[in-house]
Amino acid sequence: MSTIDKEASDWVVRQSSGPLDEEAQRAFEAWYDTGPRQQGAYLRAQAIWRSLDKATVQANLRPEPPRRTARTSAAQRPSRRVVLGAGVAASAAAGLAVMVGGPRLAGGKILTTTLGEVRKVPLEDRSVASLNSDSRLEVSMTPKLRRVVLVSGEALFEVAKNPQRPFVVEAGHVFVRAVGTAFSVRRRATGADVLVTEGVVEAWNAGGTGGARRISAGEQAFVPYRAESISVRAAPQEVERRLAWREGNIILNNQTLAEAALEFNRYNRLKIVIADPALGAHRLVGQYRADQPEQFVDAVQALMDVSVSRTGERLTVGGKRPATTPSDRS
Amino acid sequence: MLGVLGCAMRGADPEIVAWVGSHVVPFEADLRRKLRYICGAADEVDDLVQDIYYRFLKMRSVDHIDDPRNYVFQMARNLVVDHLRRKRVVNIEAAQSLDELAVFDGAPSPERVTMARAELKWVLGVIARLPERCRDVFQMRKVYGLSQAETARQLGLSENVVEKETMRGMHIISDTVARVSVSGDRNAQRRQAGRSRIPARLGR
Repeated sequence: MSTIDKEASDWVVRQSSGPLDEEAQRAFEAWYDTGPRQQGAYLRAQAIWRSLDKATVQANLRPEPPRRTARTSAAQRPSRRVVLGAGVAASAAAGLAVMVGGPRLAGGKILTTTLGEVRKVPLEDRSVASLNSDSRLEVSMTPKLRRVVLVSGEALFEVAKNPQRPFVVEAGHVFVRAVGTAFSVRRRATGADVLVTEGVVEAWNAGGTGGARRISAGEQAFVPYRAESISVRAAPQEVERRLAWREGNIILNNQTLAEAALEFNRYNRLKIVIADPALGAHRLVGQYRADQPEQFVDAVQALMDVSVSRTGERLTVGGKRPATTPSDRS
Repeated sequence: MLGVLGCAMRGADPEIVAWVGSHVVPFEADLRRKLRYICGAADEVDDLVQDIYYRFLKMRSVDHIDDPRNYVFQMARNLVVDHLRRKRVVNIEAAQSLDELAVFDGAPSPERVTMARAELKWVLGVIARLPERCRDVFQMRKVYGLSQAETARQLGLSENVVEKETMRGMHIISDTVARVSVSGDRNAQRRQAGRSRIPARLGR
Protein backbone atom coordinates (compact mmCIF):
# COMPACT_ATOMS: atom_id res chain seq x y z
CA MET A 1 0.00 0.00 0.00
CA SER A 2 1.35 3.41 -0.86
CA THR A 3 1.94 6.03 1.82
CA ILE A 4 -0.75 8.16 0.24
CA ASP A 5 -3.28 5.36 0.61
CA LYS A 6 -2.35 4.96 4.27
CA GLU A 7 -2.69 8.70 4.89
CA ALA A 8 -6.04 8.74 3.10
CA SER A 9 -7.38 5.89 5.17
CA ASP A 10 -6.20 7.53 8.40
CA TRP A 11 -8.10 10.69 7.49
CA VAL A 12 -11.23 8.72 6.78
CA VAL A 13 -10.97 6.95 10.14
CA ARG A 14 -10.37 10.21 11.99
CA GLN A 15 -13.38 11.80 10.32
CA SER A 16 -15.57 8.82 11.08
CA SER A 17 -15.82 9.69 14.77
CA GLY A 18 -17.00 13.25 14.21
CA PRO A 19 -15.85 16.51 12.67
CA LEU A 20 -12.15 17.28 12.93
CA ASP A 21 -11.02 20.13 15.14
CA GLU A 22 -9.94 23.30 13.38
CA GLU A 23 -6.27 22.50 13.27
CA ALA A 24 -6.78 18.97 12.02
CA GLN A 25 -9.28 20.20 9.45
CA ARG A 26 -6.68 22.60 8.06
CA ALA A 27 -4.10 19.82 7.95
CA PHE A 28 -6.59 17.60 6.14
CA GLU A 29 -7.44 20.26 3.59
CA ALA A 30 -3.76 20.94 2.92
CA TRP A 31 -3.17 17.24 2.43
CA TYR A 32 -6.24 16.80 0.21
CA ASP A 33 -5.34 19.76 -1.95
CA THR A 34 -1.89 18.36 -2.66
CA GLY A 35 -3.19 16.74 -5.82
CA PRO A 36 -5.21 14.11 -7.66
CA ARG A 37 -3.34 11.18 -6.15
CA GLN A 38 -4.36 12.22 -2.64
CA GLN A 39 -7.90 12.88 -3.78
CA GLY A 40 -8.16 9.57 -5.61
CA ALA A 41 -6.76 7.74 -2.60
CA TYR A 42 -9.22 9.59 -0.37
CA LEU A 43 -12.23 8.48 -2.43
CA ARG A 44 -10.82 4.96 -2.42
CA ALA A 45 -10.54 4.95 1.39
CA GLN A 46 -14.02 6.43 1.77
CA ALA A 47 -15.45 3.84 -0.59
CA ILE A 48 -13.76 1.01 1.28
CA TRP A 49 -15.01 2.34 4.61
CA ARG A 50 -18.47 2.69 3.15
CA SER A 51 -18.44 -0.78 1.60
CA LEU A 52 -17.82 -2.26 5.05
CA ASP A 53 -21.20 -0.86 6.05
CA LYS A 54 -22.79 -3.64 4.02
CA ALA A 55 -22.13 -5.77 7.04
CA THR A 56 -24.22 -3.36 9.13
CA VAL A 57 -27.23 -3.37 6.88
CA GLN A 58 -27.48 -7.05 7.59
CA ALA A 59 -26.90 -6.56 11.28
CA ASN A 60 -30.22 -4.89 11.97
CA LEU A 61 -31.48 -8.36 12.63
CA ARG A 62 -30.57 -8.08 16.23
CA PRO A 63 -32.48 -5.89 18.64
CA GLU A 64 -29.43 -5.00 20.71
CA PRO A 65 -25.63 -5.04 20.42
CA PRO A 66 -23.88 -7.74 22.42
CA ARG A 67 -22.76 -6.99 25.92
CA ARG A 68 -19.29 -8.15 26.44
CA THR A 69 -16.09 -7.18 28.15
CA ALA A 70 -12.71 -6.54 26.62
CA ARG A 71 -11.69 -10.07 27.39
CA THR A 72 -14.36 -12.05 25.64
CA SER A 73 -13.87 -13.30 22.15
CA ALA A 74 -15.00 -11.49 19.07
CA ALA A 75 -16.45 -14.45 17.30
CA GLN A 76 -18.84 -15.31 20.06
CA ARG A 77 -22.24 -14.09 19.07
CA PRO A 78 -24.97 -13.14 21.45
CA SER A 79 -28.25 -14.09 19.91
CA ARG A 80 -28.56 -17.55 21.41
CA ARG A 81 -29.41 -15.89 24.68
CA VAL A 82 -31.90 -13.54 23.21
CA VAL A 83 -35.10 -15.47 22.81
CA LEU A 84 -37.98 -13.09 22.70
CA GLY A 85 -41.63 -13.72 22.14
CA ALA A 86 -43.43 -17.00 21.89
CA GLY A 87 -44.31 -17.65 18.25
CA VAL A 88 -43.70 -21.17 17.02
CA ALA A 89 -42.94 -22.58 13.65
CA ALA A 90 -46.00 -24.80 13.92
CA SER A 91 -48.30 -21.98 12.94
CA ALA A 92 -46.34 -21.99 9.73
CA ALA A 93 -48.40 -23.88 7.24
CA ALA A 94 -51.63 -22.03 7.90
CA GLY A 95 -50.92 -18.71 6.23
CA LEU A 96 -49.77 -20.13 2.95
CA ALA A 97 -52.77 -22.17 2.00
CA VAL A 98 -54.40 -20.90 -1.12
CA MET A 99 -58.13 -21.22 -1.51
CA VAL A 100 -59.19 -21.63 -5.05
CA GLY A 101 -62.89 -21.51 -5.79
CA GLY A 102 -65.70 -19.05 -5.43
CA PRO A 103 -67.52 -17.34 -8.24
CA ARG A 104 -65.94 -17.06 -11.65
CA LEU A 105 -66.65 -14.24 -14.01
CA ALA A 106 -67.98 -14.79 -17.47
CA GLY A 107 -65.88 -12.99 -20.05
CA GLY A 108 -63.58 -11.55 -17.41
CA LYS A 109 -59.99 -10.67 -17.98
CA ILE A 110 -57.59 -12.95 -16.14
CA LEU A 111 -54.39 -11.64 -14.58
CA THR A 112 -51.86 -13.93 -12.97
CA THR A 113 -48.39 -13.83 -11.45
CA THR A 114 -46.00 -16.72 -10.96
CA LEU A 115 -43.94 -17.42 -7.86
CA GLY A 116 -41.69 -14.47 -7.10
CA GLU A 117 -43.34 -12.21 -9.66
CA VAL A 118 -44.90 -8.88 -8.75
CA ARG A 119 -46.90 -7.18 -11.47
CA LYS A 120 -48.60 -3.84 -11.81
CA VAL A 121 -51.44 -3.86 -14.32
CA PRO A 122 -53.51 -0.88 -15.45
CA LEU A 123 -57.19 -1.73 -15.72
CA GLU A 124 -59.47 -0.27 -18.36
CA ASP A 125 -61.19 2.09 -15.92
CA ARG A 126 -57.77 3.66 -15.16
CA SER A 127 -57.53 1.87 -11.83
CA VAL A 128 -54.34 -0.03 -11.23
CA ALA A 129 -53.99 -3.53 -9.81
CA SER A 130 -50.65 -4.69 -8.37
CA LEU A 131 -50.45 -8.45 -8.04
CA ASN A 132 -48.18 -10.01 -5.46
CA SER A 133 -46.33 -13.30 -5.99
CA ASP A 134 -48.34 -16.34 -7.10
CA SER A 135 -51.70 -14.59 -7.41
CA ARG A 136 -54.69 -14.71 -9.72
CA LEU A 137 -57.32 -12.09 -10.48
CA GLU A 138 -60.36 -12.04 -12.71
CA VAL A 139 -61.60 -8.64 -13.75
CA SER A 140 -64.92 -7.79 -15.34
CA MET A 141 -66.02 -4.25 -16.10
CA THR A 142 -69.69 -3.52 -16.68
CA PRO A 143 -71.34 -0.10 -16.97
CA LYS A 144 -72.73 -0.39 -13.45
CA LEU A 145 -70.02 -2.28 -11.67
CA ARG A 146 -66.30 -2.92 -11.62
CA ARG A 147 -65.95 -6.44 -10.35
CA VAL A 148 -62.71 -8.18 -9.45
CA VAL A 149 -62.39 -11.72 -8.13
CA LEU A 150 -59.24 -12.46 -6.18
CA VAL A 151 -58.96 -16.17 -6.87
CA SER A 152 -55.72 -16.60 -4.98
CA GLY A 153 -52.85 -14.63 -3.50
CA GLU A 154 -52.82 -10.90 -2.85
CA ALA A 155 -53.39 -7.74 -4.81
CA LEU A 156 -53.40 -4.04 -4.18
CA PHE A 157 -55.89 -1.80 -5.96
CA GLU A 158 -55.55 1.88 -6.66
CA VAL A 159 -59.08 2.65 -7.64
CA ALA A 160 -59.98 5.43 -10.06
CA LYS A 161 -62.81 7.54 -8.61
CA ASN A 162 -66.23 6.86 -10.04
CA PRO A 163 -69.17 6.97 -7.59
CA GLN A 164 -71.56 5.72 -10.31
CA ARG A 165 -69.59 2.55 -10.77
CA PRO A 166 -68.50 0.83 -7.55
CA PHE A 167 -65.34 -1.22 -7.48
CA VAL A 168 -65.88 -4.53 -5.69
CA VAL A 169 -63.31 -7.16 -4.89
CA GLU A 170 -64.48 -10.65 -4.03
CA ALA A 171 -62.26 -13.02 -2.12
CA GLY A 172 -64.22 -16.17 -1.42
CA HIS A 173 -67.21 -15.00 0.57
CA VAL A 174 -65.53 -11.75 1.47
CA PHE A 175 -66.48 -8.60 -0.40
CA VAL A 176 -64.68 -5.30 -0.32
CA ARG A 177 -66.18 -2.24 -1.98
CA ALA A 178 -64.44 1.00 -2.80
CA VAL A 179 -65.34 4.08 -4.72
CA GLY A 180 -62.02 5.86 -5.11
CA THR A 181 -59.32 4.61 -2.82
CA ALA A 182 -56.31 2.32 -2.48
CA PHE A 183 -56.41 -0.97 -0.64
CA SER A 184 -55.09 -4.50 -0.77
CA VAL A 185 -56.76 -7.85 -0.30
CA ARG A 186 -54.89 -11.01 0.54
CA ARG A 187 -56.43 -14.43 0.65
CA ARG A 188 -55.65 -16.50 3.72
CA ALA A 189 -56.80 -19.94 4.74
CA THR A 190 -59.83 -18.79 6.75
CA GLY A 191 -60.48 -15.28 5.51
CA ALA A 192 -59.01 -12.27 3.77
CA ASP A 193 -56.72 -9.51 5.01
CA VAL A 194 -57.76 -6.06 3.90
CA LEU A 195 -55.29 -3.18 4.18
CA VAL A 196 -56.33 0.35 3.29
CA THR A 197 -53.76 2.97 2.31
CA GLU A 198 -56.07 5.69 1.05
CA GLY A 199 -59.71 6.63 1.52
CA VAL A 200 -62.34 4.25 2.88
CA VAL A 201 -63.64 0.84 1.83
CA GLU A 202 -66.50 -1.29 3.02
CA ALA A 203 -66.00 -4.97 3.64
CA TRP A 204 -68.59 -7.61 4.34
CA ASN A 205 -69.16 -11.28 4.33
CA ALA A 206 -71.69 -12.82 1.98
CA GLY A 207 -73.14 -15.10 4.67
CA GLY A 208 -73.00 -12.58 7.47
CA THR A 209 -75.79 -10.56 9.00
CA GLY A 210 -73.67 -7.91 10.62
CA GLY A 211 -73.58 -5.69 7.54
CA ALA A 212 -70.55 -3.96 6.12
CA ARG A 213 -67.66 -2.63 8.16
CA ARG A 214 -65.93 0.54 7.14
CA ILE A 215 -62.16 0.35 6.95
CA SER A 216 -60.24 3.60 6.60
CA ALA A 217 -56.76 4.57 5.51
CA GLY A 218 -54.11 3.17 7.83
CA GLU A 219 -56.37 0.41 9.10
CA GLN A 220 -56.10 -3.30 8.62
CA ALA A 221 -58.87 -5.81 8.90
CA PHE A 222 -59.30 -9.53 8.85
CA VAL A 223 -62.55 -10.61 7.24
CA PRO A 224 -63.34 -14.31 7.82
CA TYR A 225 -64.91 -16.39 5.04
CA ARG A 226 -67.38 -17.71 7.56
CA ALA A 227 -70.02 -15.45 8.97
CA GLU A 228 -67.95 -14.29 11.87
CA SER A 229 -67.20 -10.81 13.06
CA ILE A 230 -64.71 -8.63 11.23
CA SER A 231 -61.84 -7.23 13.22
CA VAL A 232 -60.52 -3.81 12.26
CA ARG A 233 -57.51 -2.13 13.79
CA ALA A 234 -55.64 1.10 13.10
CA ALA A 235 -52.02 0.31 12.24
CA PRO A 236 -50.67 2.67 9.58
CA GLN A 237 -47.07 1.49 9.93
CA GLU A 238 -48.12 -2.12 9.81
CA VAL A 239 -50.12 -1.45 6.64
CA GLU A 240 -47.06 0.09 5.00
CA ARG A 241 -44.84 -2.74 6.20
CA ARG A 242 -47.14 -5.37 4.81
CA LEU A 243 -47.27 -3.66 1.45
CA ALA A 244 -43.47 -3.54 1.07
CA TRP A 245 -43.83 -6.23 -1.59
CA ARG A 246 -44.77 -3.50 -4.03
CA GLU A 247 -41.10 -2.48 -4.02
CA GLY A 248 -39.95 -6.08 -3.93
CA ASN A 249 -39.05 -5.91 -0.24
CA ILE A 250 -39.85 -7.76 2.91
CA ILE A 251 -39.83 -5.60 5.99
CA LEU A 252 -39.61 -7.24 9.37
CA ASN A 253 -40.57 -5.30 12.44
CA ASN A 254 -40.60 -7.69 15.33
CA GLN A 255 -41.89 -10.62 13.31
CA THR A 256 -40.59 -14.04 14.31
CA LEU A 257 -38.01 -15.90 12.27
CA ALA A 258 -40.74 -18.45 11.49
CA GLU A 259 -43.01 -15.73 10.10
CA ALA A 260 -40.11 -14.25 8.16
CA ALA A 261 -39.36 -17.64 6.61
CA LEU A 262 -43.00 -17.98 5.50
CA GLU A 263 -42.87 -14.54 4.00
CA PHE A 264 -39.74 -15.35 1.96
CA ASN A 265 -41.26 -18.66 0.93
CA ARG A 266 -44.15 -16.81 -0.71
CA TYR A 267 -41.73 -15.48 -3.29
CA ASN A 268 -39.15 -18.14 -3.90
CA ARG A 269 -38.76 -21.66 -5.08
CA LEU A 270 -35.88 -21.96 -2.62
CA LYS A 271 -37.70 -22.54 0.69
CA ILE A 272 -36.44 -21.57 4.11
CA VAL A 273 -37.08 -24.24 6.73
CA ILE A 274 -36.59 -23.53 10.42
CA ALA A 275 -35.52 -26.80 12.00
CA ASP A 276 -35.56 -25.61 15.58
CA PRO A 277 -38.89 -24.20 16.86
CA ALA A 278 -37.16 -22.21 19.61
CA LEU A 279 -35.12 -20.50 16.93
CA GLY A 280 -38.26 -19.75 14.95
CA ALA A 281 -39.51 -17.64 17.84
CA HIS A 282 -36.71 -15.08 17.61
CA ARG A 283 -38.04 -11.70 16.65
CA LEU A 284 -36.34 -9.79 13.89
CA VAL A 285 -36.08 -6.28 12.55
CA GLY A 286 -34.80 -5.42 9.10
CA GLN A 287 -35.49 -4.89 5.46
CA TYR A 288 -34.62 -7.45 2.82
CA ARG A 289 -35.11 -8.12 -0.87
CA ALA A 290 -37.94 -10.62 -1.20
CA ASP A 291 -36.05 -12.48 -3.92
CA GLN A 292 -32.93 -13.02 -1.83
CA PRO A 293 -33.67 -15.71 0.74
CA GLU A 294 -30.02 -16.72 0.71
CA GLN A 295 -28.88 -13.28 1.74
CA PHE A 296 -31.42 -13.23 4.54
CA VAL A 297 -30.34 -16.66 5.73
CA ASP A 298 -26.68 -15.64 5.50
CA ALA A 299 -27.44 -12.71 7.74
CA VAL A 300 -29.37 -14.89 10.17
CA GLN A 301 -26.49 -17.31 10.25
CA ALA A 302 -23.78 -14.72 10.67
CA LEU A 303 -25.57 -12.81 13.37
CA MET A 304 -27.49 -15.42 15.34
CA ASP A 305 -24.74 -18.03 15.39
CA VAL A 306 -26.80 -20.82 13.89
CA SER A 307 -26.04 -23.46 11.32
CA VAL A 308 -27.44 -23.38 7.82
CA SER A 309 -27.50 -26.17 5.31
CA ARG A 310 -28.77 -26.31 1.79
CA THR A 311 -30.24 -29.39 0.17
CA GLY A 312 -31.81 -28.94 -3.23
CA GLU A 313 -34.46 -26.24 -2.86
CA ARG A 314 -34.37 -26.16 0.93
CA LEU A 315 -32.38 -23.85 3.14
CA THR A 316 -32.49 -25.33 6.61
CA VAL A 317 -31.74 -23.02 9.51
CA GLY A 318 -30.80 -24.53 12.88
CA GLY A 319 -30.71 -28.17 13.78
CA LYS A 320 -27.51 -30.10 14.13
CA ARG A 321 -24.52 -27.83 14.34
CA PRO A 322 -21.80 -28.34 11.74
CA ALA A 323 -18.25 -29.11 12.81
CA THR A 324 -16.75 -26.11 14.54
CA THR A 325 -14.35 -24.08 12.48
CA PRO A 326 -11.57 -22.04 14.05
CA SER A 327 -13.23 -18.76 13.20
CA ASP A 328 -16.22 -19.68 15.35
CA ARG A 329 -14.25 -20.18 18.48
CA SER A 330 -11.20 -18.00 18.30
CA MET B 1 -23.17 5.20 8.85
CA LEU B 2 -22.32 8.38 7.07
CA GLY B 3 -20.07 10.69 8.97
CA VAL B 4 -17.17 10.17 6.64
CA LEU B 5 -18.09 13.24 4.71
CA GLY B 6 -17.46 15.80 7.39
CA CYS B 7 -16.33 18.35 4.85
CA ALA B 8 -18.74 19.52 2.22
CA MET B 9 -16.10 20.99 -0.05
CA ARG B 10 -13.82 18.00 -0.27
CA GLY B 11 -14.51 14.41 -1.11
CA ALA B 12 -17.13 12.91 -3.37
CA ASP B 13 -20.90 12.90 -3.33
CA PRO B 14 -22.14 10.19 -0.91
CA GLU B 15 -23.92 8.49 -3.77
CA ILE B 16 -20.67 8.22 -5.71
CA VAL B 17 -18.85 6.94 -2.63
CA ALA B 18 -21.48 4.23 -2.22
CA TRP B 19 -21.42 3.36 -5.89
CA VAL B 20 -17.63 3.13 -5.95
CA GLY B 21 -17.78 1.02 -2.78
CA SER B 22 -20.06 -1.45 -4.55
CA HIS B 23 -18.71 -1.43 -8.07
CA VAL B 24 -15.03 -0.54 -7.99
CA VAL B 25 -13.64 -1.57 -4.61
CA PRO B 26 -14.67 -5.25 -4.85
CA PHE B 27 -12.90 -5.57 -8.23
CA GLU B 28 -9.84 -3.48 -7.50
CA ALA B 29 -7.64 -6.55 -7.04
CA ASP B 30 -8.57 -7.83 -10.53
CA LEU B 31 -7.78 -4.43 -11.97
CA ARG B 32 -4.43 -4.25 -10.21
CA ARG B 33 -3.46 -7.70 -11.41
CA LYS B 34 -3.95 -6.59 -14.99
CA LEU B 35 -2.21 -3.29 -14.47
CA ARG B 36 0.77 -5.00 -12.88
CA TYR B 37 1.11 -7.15 -15.94
CA ILE B 38 1.27 -4.11 -18.17
CA CYS B 39 3.16 -1.64 -16.02
CA GLY B 40 5.36 -3.81 -13.91
CA ALA B 41 6.30 -1.28 -11.23
CA ALA B 42 4.12 -1.31 -8.12
CA ASP B 43 4.17 2.45 -7.62
CA GLU B 44 2.96 2.99 -11.17
CA VAL B 45 0.04 0.70 -10.43
CA ASP B 46 -0.80 2.62 -7.26
CA ASP B 47 -0.63 5.79 -9.29
CA LEU B 48 -3.00 4.48 -11.96
CA VAL B 49 -5.45 3.12 -9.42
CA GLN B 50 -5.53 6.44 -7.58
CA ASP B 51 -6.10 8.13 -10.91
CA ILE B 52 -9.08 5.89 -11.61
CA TYR B 53 -10.63 6.76 -8.25
CA TYR B 54 -9.86 10.41 -8.92
CA ARG B 55 -11.92 10.24 -12.14
CA PHE B 56 -14.88 8.96 -10.16
CA LEU B 57 -14.36 11.65 -7.54
CA LYS B 58 -14.80 14.25 -10.25
CA MET B 59 -17.99 12.72 -11.63
CA ARG B 60 -21.29 14.39 -10.91
CA SER B 61 -23.28 11.27 -11.41
CA VAL B 62 -22.78 7.61 -12.21
CA ASP B 63 -26.29 7.12 -13.55
CA HIS B 64 -25.04 6.74 -17.11
CA ILE B 65 -22.92 3.68 -16.31
CA ASP B 66 -24.71 0.51 -17.34
CA ASP B 67 -21.98 -2.02 -16.92
CA PRO B 68 -19.75 -0.85 -14.07
CA ARG B 69 -17.00 -3.40 -14.48
CA ASN B 70 -16.60 -2.84 -18.19
CA TYR B 71 -16.65 0.86 -17.59
CA VAL B 72 -13.88 0.69 -15.01
CA PHE B 73 -11.72 -1.54 -17.17
CA GLN B 74 -12.27 0.65 -20.22
CA MET B 75 -11.35 3.67 -18.17
CA ALA B 76 -8.22 1.89 -16.97
CA ARG B 77 -7.26 1.12 -20.53
CA ASN B 78 -7.51 4.76 -21.55
CA LEU B 79 -5.46 5.87 -18.57
CA VAL B 80 -2.79 3.31 -19.36
CA VAL B 81 -2.60 4.60 -22.91
CA ASP B 82 -2.00 8.11 -21.59
CA HIS B 83 0.47 6.76 -19.10
CA LEU B 84 2.44 4.83 -21.73
CA ARG B 85 2.52 7.84 -24.02
CA ARG B 86 4.16 9.90 -21.32
CA LYS B 87 6.86 7.32 -20.85
CA ARG B 88 10.01 7.65 -22.92
CA VAL B 89 10.46 3.97 -23.48
CA VAL B 90 7.32 2.09 -24.30
CA ASN B 91 7.25 -1.57 -23.60
CA ILE B 92 5.92 -3.11 -26.80
CA GLU B 93 4.56 -6.12 -25.00
CA ALA B 94 2.70 -3.85 -22.62
CA ALA B 95 1.15 -2.01 -25.52
CA GLN B 96 -0.01 -5.30 -26.94
CA SER B 97 -1.79 -6.33 -23.77
CA LEU B 98 -3.75 -3.11 -23.76
CA ASP B 99 -6.71 -4.54 -25.54
CA GLU B 100 -6.88 -7.38 -23.11
CA LEU B 101 -7.16 -4.88 -20.31
CA ALA B 102 -10.43 -3.55 -21.60
CA VAL B 103 -11.95 -7.02 -21.48
CA PHE B 104 -12.78 -8.20 -18.05
CA ASP B 105 -11.89 -11.87 -17.89
CA GLY B 106 -13.62 -12.80 -14.66
CA ALA B 107 -16.90 -14.57 -14.38
CA PRO B 108 -19.76 -13.24 -16.49
CA SER B 109 -21.27 -10.12 -15.01
CA PRO B 110 -23.14 -11.35 -11.98
CA GLU B 111 -26.75 -10.44 -11.49
CA ARG B 112 -27.45 -7.74 -9.00
CA VAL B 113 -28.85 -10.23 -6.55
CA THR B 114 -25.91 -12.59 -6.68
CA MET B 115 -23.56 -9.67 -6.52
CA ALA B 116 -25.04 -8.28 -3.33
CA ARG B 117 -24.66 -11.67 -1.74
CA ALA B 118 -21.07 -12.06 -2.93
CA GLU B 119 -20.26 -8.61 -1.64
CA LEU B 120 -21.63 -9.35 1.80
CA LYS B 121 -19.55 -12.51 2.01
CA TRP B 122 -16.53 -10.62 0.81
CA VAL B 123 -16.96 -7.84 3.34
CA LEU B 124 -17.51 -10.28 6.20
CA GLY B 125 -14.44 -12.18 4.99
CA VAL B 126 -12.34 -9.03 4.94
CA ILE B 127 -13.34 -8.24 8.53
CA ALA B 128 -12.81 -11.85 9.64
CA ARG B 129 -9.19 -11.72 8.51
CA LEU B 130 -8.21 -8.92 10.85
CA PRO B 131 -6.09 -9.64 13.91
CA GLU B 132 -8.16 -10.16 17.03
CA ARG B 133 -8.48 -6.74 18.67
CA CYS B 134 -8.84 -5.05 15.30
CA ARG B 135 -11.57 -7.48 14.41
CA ASP B 136 -13.42 -6.78 17.66
CA VAL B 137 -13.33 -3.09 16.83
CA PHE B 138 -14.55 -3.60 13.27
CA GLN B 139 -17.29 -5.95 14.36
CA MET B 140 -18.56 -3.36 16.78
CA ARG B 141 -18.29 -0.49 14.36
CA LYS B 142 -19.32 -2.12 11.12
CA VAL B 143 -21.31 -5.22 12.00
CA TYR B 144 -23.12 -3.75 14.98
CA GLY B 145 -22.99 -0.18 13.68
CA LEU B 146 -21.71 1.35 16.92
CA SER B 147 -19.93 4.71 17.07
CA GLN B 148 -16.30 5.00 18.08
CA ALA B 149 -17.32 6.09 21.59
CA GLU B 150 -19.82 3.23 21.99
CA THR B 151 -17.26 0.77 20.68
CA ALA B 152 -14.77 1.99 23.25
CA ARG B 153 -17.32 1.51 26.04
CA GLN B 154 -18.34 -1.95 24.85
CA LEU B 155 -14.79 -3.20 24.59
CA GLY B 156 -13.49 -1.41 27.68
CA LEU B 157 -10.87 0.45 25.65
CA SER B 158 -10.06 4.12 25.41
CA GLU B 159 -11.38 5.97 22.36
CA ASN B 160 -7.82 6.68 21.40
CA VAL B 161 -6.99 2.98 21.29
CA VAL B 162 -10.16 2.28 19.30
CA GLU B 163 -9.13 4.91 16.76
CA LYS B 164 -5.62 3.47 16.50
CA GLU B 165 -7.02 -0.03 16.03
CA THR B 166 -9.45 1.25 13.41
CA MET B 167 -6.58 2.87 11.52
CA ARG B 168 -4.51 -0.29 11.75
CA GLY B 169 -7.47 -2.36 10.55
CA MET B 170 -8.13 -0.02 7.65
CA HIS B 171 -4.50 -0.35 6.51
CA ILE B 172 -4.91 -4.11 6.48
CA ILE B 173 -8.28 -3.93 4.75
CA SER B 174 -6.95 -1.47 2.19
CA ASP B 175 -4.20 -3.97 1.46
CA THR B 176 -6.72 -6.82 1.22
CA VAL B 177 -8.81 -4.83 -1.23
CA ALA B 178 -5.72 -4.47 -3.42
CA ARG B 179 -5.01 -8.20 -3.34
CA VAL B 180 -8.30 -10.03 -3.01
CA SER B 181 -11.24 -9.42 -5.30
CA VAL B 182 -14.84 -10.33 -4.68
CA SER B 183 -14.77 -12.74 -7.60
CA GLY B 184 -11.43 -14.39 -7.29
CA ASP B 185 -10.42 -15.23 -3.78
CA ARG B 186 -10.52 -18.96 -3.24
CA ASN B 187 -9.30 -18.86 0.34
CA ALA B 188 -11.86 -16.41 1.54
CA GLN B 189 -14.59 -18.33 -0.21
CA ARG B 190 -13.52 -21.57 1.37
CA ARG B 191 -13.40 -19.92 4.73
CA GLN B 192 -16.88 -18.56 4.32
CA ALA B 193 -18.19 -21.77 2.80
CA GLY B 194 -16.80 -23.70 5.76
CA ARG B 195 -18.89 -21.59 8.05
CA SER B 196 -22.00 -21.40 5.99
CA ARG B 197 -22.43 -24.94 4.72
CA ILE B 198 -23.95 -23.40 1.66
CA PRO B 199 -22.18 -24.54 -1.49
CA ALA B 200 -19.73 -21.90 -2.63
CA ARG B 201 -21.62 -21.62 -5.88
CA LEU B 202 -23.27 -18.23 -5.95
CA GLY B 203 -26.71 -17.64 -7.30
CA ARG B 204 -29.36 -20.17 -8.04
